[in-house]
Amino acid sequence: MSKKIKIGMISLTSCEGCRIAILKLGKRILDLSDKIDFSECSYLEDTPWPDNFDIVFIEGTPITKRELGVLKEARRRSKKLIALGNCAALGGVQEIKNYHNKEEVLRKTYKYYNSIENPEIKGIKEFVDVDFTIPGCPINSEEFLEVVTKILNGEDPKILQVPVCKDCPRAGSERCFLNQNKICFGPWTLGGCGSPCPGNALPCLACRGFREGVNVDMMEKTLEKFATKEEIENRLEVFGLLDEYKKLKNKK
Amino acid sequence: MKINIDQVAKIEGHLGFMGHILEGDVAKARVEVHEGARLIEGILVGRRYDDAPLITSRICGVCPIVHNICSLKSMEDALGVEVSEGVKILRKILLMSQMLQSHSLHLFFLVLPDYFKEDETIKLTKEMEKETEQALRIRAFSDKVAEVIGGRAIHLTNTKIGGFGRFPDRKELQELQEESRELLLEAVTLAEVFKDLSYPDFSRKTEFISITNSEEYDFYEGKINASDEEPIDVNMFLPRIKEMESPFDVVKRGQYKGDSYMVGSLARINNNKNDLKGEAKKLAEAFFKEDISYNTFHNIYAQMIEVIYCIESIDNLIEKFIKGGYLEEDIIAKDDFTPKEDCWGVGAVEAPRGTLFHIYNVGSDGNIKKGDVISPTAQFLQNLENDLKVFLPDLKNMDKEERERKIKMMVRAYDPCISCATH
Repeated sequence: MSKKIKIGMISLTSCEGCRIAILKLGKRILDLSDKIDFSECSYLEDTPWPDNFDIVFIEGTPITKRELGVLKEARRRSKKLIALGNCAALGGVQEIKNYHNKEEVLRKTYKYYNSIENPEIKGIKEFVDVDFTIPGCPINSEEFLEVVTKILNGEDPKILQVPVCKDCPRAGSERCFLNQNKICFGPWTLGGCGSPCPGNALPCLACRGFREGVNVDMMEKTLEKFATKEEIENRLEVFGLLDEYKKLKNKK
Repeated sequence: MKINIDQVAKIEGHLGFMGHILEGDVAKARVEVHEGARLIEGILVGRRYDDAPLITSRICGVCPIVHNICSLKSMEDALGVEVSEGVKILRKILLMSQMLQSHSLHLFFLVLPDYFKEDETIKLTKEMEKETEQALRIRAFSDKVAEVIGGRAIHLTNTKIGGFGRFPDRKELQELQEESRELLLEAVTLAEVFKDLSYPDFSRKTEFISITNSEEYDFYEGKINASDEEPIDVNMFLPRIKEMESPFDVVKRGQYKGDSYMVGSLARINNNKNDLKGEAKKLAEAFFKEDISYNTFHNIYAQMIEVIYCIESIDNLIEKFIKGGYLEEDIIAKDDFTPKEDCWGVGAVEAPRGTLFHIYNVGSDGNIKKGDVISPTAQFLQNLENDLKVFLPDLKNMDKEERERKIKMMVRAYDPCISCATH
């Protein structure tokens, strides 16, 4: 029998919804336990970390110094490190404060604000090398299973560069949010989520990040027909996309 | 004797424990939160009112539905929006799916290994194959309910201020009903396992607070119930609790009239068990023979009873929704509710871990001026610490491993959610 793959599921500050999303796989994830050893997952184990991991999945963003240490130690001990979900990849909703006066945001929240850690929020790639990203808020559990299965088979995982509109029931119709002059980032966002937001009540806020090679000037041009620059930037703040967007704009 | 647990695993988020058993039966205990502050309330300020349900949902991935719905209710209170009976029924079903999602995870995967002295949950799932499948089926069913009505299992996409974006599919609703009937029988068998667990003997008098609805055992609406007065409206109740802040603590710990208190399944069962129906009522009557249980470990069985109750009630509520013959216009929400003037709103729902409050102030431009989220775990964290102080002297003659296990068992019985507590 071949050796089991040692996996770590490590959670930094976040809602922990991405690891909960994995539970949606039900028995299929438990069946993998013949091939996988969950060497560290605080939901399953009450045991210390092993010396080495094959893969660690990191969810959340580091906020406390302790967490930054955990992230760096996880990188040191693991062959592969995978960012799990929007917070780890792009900063998550907690990044909103970066775009405002974060000290004031803190003072509005806590009385003893001087004793609360309040760093700028960044995706984990700003602190450690990231080998792969599973996007979304939360992640798509099927995509997670695909990625893990590929890695177990010795293949490179990949996420198809298609837009969210590909699965959107509104696409091409008058129900399309863009046709109703509402900001929706569907055409420029990495699909694969099954379009649950515009498929229901909400425009896409690009929680999975932009598609590779996306033309943000075209996006701006399309949206500025009915929305102001401030309105567009406000929507990009929600899932930590505004800094990525500005970087892409400056590249041109 | 000093006890130090760096991190208590198998709970949501990061929590450590420090204890000290002194002479006689005196002990010190401190639970310490190791979670970063995301400043969710601060980041809401200046954002449009309809960002609140979306952003506050992200407070917690274990109970996102309750934050979303509590936020909607509180915003609707602020903006003067009334929702139809049909919308209420659908939201009630969503809250029940949330109870099932959270309780099934907590009971089976986080709690049960303690009682079988098993550190690794995966091993237990292999030893208890039938029960594992039952627990996973409950979880899968609850995810499906959330998807059919709320658009997605985690972080809903179909709920809006004023109602819903898409009318739920009638055929899918009926399928859920059928599934719930099959599942009920299995859940009742699973309850046997939890009935017979050897819960540690513990008792400490405390205050139990929950929503009480005079018509039914409900998680969506009602008055707030404490033992020392008649149930009162949410806005009347809120001044009675304080969020206690101290330096270096990212959690604002709740106090009711100057003392700690308990919220959650045990509080609800203690306050409302006469409103239960069907199988859940039978199980509650057989187990909770006293008027009030002061054994916090019983929170576990109280959750199991709620699992049964929710599976039965989802069936009944779907029936009620279908019979109600609601039209698109009763369910589908409008887009704009920008207020004419500065306004305040409060909302409360029962979350898996207890009463959750959201409070908002919205300006006449439609932007949030102030937001406050009072989560169940923030409310009961001090009560947990007080319980641990009383519990510790009982543990002094045990070996280290057993003592630490018992401490963790008490922490887990509360089912704390540290992401919620901090947010």
